[in-house]
Amino acid sequence: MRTITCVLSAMGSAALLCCASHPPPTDNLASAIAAVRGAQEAGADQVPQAALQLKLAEEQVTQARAMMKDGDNERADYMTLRAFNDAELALALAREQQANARAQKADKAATSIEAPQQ
Amino acid sequence: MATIKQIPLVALVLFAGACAGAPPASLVDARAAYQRASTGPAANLAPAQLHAAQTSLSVAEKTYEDEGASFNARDRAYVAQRKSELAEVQARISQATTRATDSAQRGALAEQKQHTETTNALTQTRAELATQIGALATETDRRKQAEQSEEQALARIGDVKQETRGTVLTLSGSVIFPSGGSELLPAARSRLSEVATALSQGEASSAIVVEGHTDSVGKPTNNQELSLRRATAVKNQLVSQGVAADRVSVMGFGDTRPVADNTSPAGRANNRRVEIVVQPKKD
Repeated sequence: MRTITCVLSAMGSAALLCCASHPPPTDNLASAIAAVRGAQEAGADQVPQAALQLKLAEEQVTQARAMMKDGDNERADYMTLRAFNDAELALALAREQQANARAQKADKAATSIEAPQQ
Repeated sequence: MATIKQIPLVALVLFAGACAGAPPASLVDARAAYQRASTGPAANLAPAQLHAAQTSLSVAEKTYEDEGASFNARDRAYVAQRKSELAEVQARISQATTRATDSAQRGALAEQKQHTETTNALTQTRAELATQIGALATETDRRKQAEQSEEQALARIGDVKQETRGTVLTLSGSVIFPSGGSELLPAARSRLSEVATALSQGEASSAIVVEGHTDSVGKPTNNQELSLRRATAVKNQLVSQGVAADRVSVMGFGDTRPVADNTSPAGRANNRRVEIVVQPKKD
């Protein structure tokens, strides 16, 4: 019985040590927040698919903050990574929409030069 | 004691069982996302991002292998899926950028082509215009020369004046007709031949009016008839010498347009005359 207690307490201490040893992911959180801001500035909230990713990123930043507050730094760290990658995707989706718009405009312009409306 | 020893073993077996179970949905999604990205245009257009996605997926797989469906494993799978999706989006951005560049080049080419066509058309129009201007100048010169040579030729035959109605050649009536008659004197015929030659050499399209005039001696009606007969005689002589008949018209003014005093013999002699008016071409 003592062995069990010993094993369990050792596992518990290990778990506690593990959590306590993970430093607060302040850098990763800052990166995630910056990425979210970048996506917002690129107009991601105006593009439906990008807006969805942006919303996820924003929620995950909030979650990461709450986890850090609760001392769960390791989970918070991964949550910031999720937020960062969602924000990056949101930014790319917004840029994709802009690139498509530019391509369409250029095509239209070229067509109008090739066959001007009389 | 045996029971106690078995507890960690059972835990291990349970743990292993969890590992051997179906992988979490996030990892399944991450694998599918990578599969799709790596077989699509991202392989060529976003290789760096695709490589990052592959690395991320490997980390997620390793974490799942080590820890099972832990939070870490699921978060890493989630991140890997986003990285694969990002690679796909970047590839599509690259495609759109290429389309925009191609279209811009197409537009520039079309614009250049149109510019060249317009320039060529303009050059051709200018050349045509220059030719026309040249032809016009030549024609103007030719007419001017013709008019001058006509005037010079006429000046040798009689009294030539430039008036608003045209070039006027005055032939004295006493030189070309017998008194009171409208038959040309032989000397007049040769002089009128010269006139005809001069008119034929000149501007062929100019109209010619032959006007007959008399002095005030006799009845005005007789004078008018006489002046018309004389003008007609002159016309007939000119036409017989090659001047186109439709160029020449005749008018008899009788004594209505004297150029000198009818009271003196010299003045009456001046009034008896035939005037040949060469009208400038109207265009």
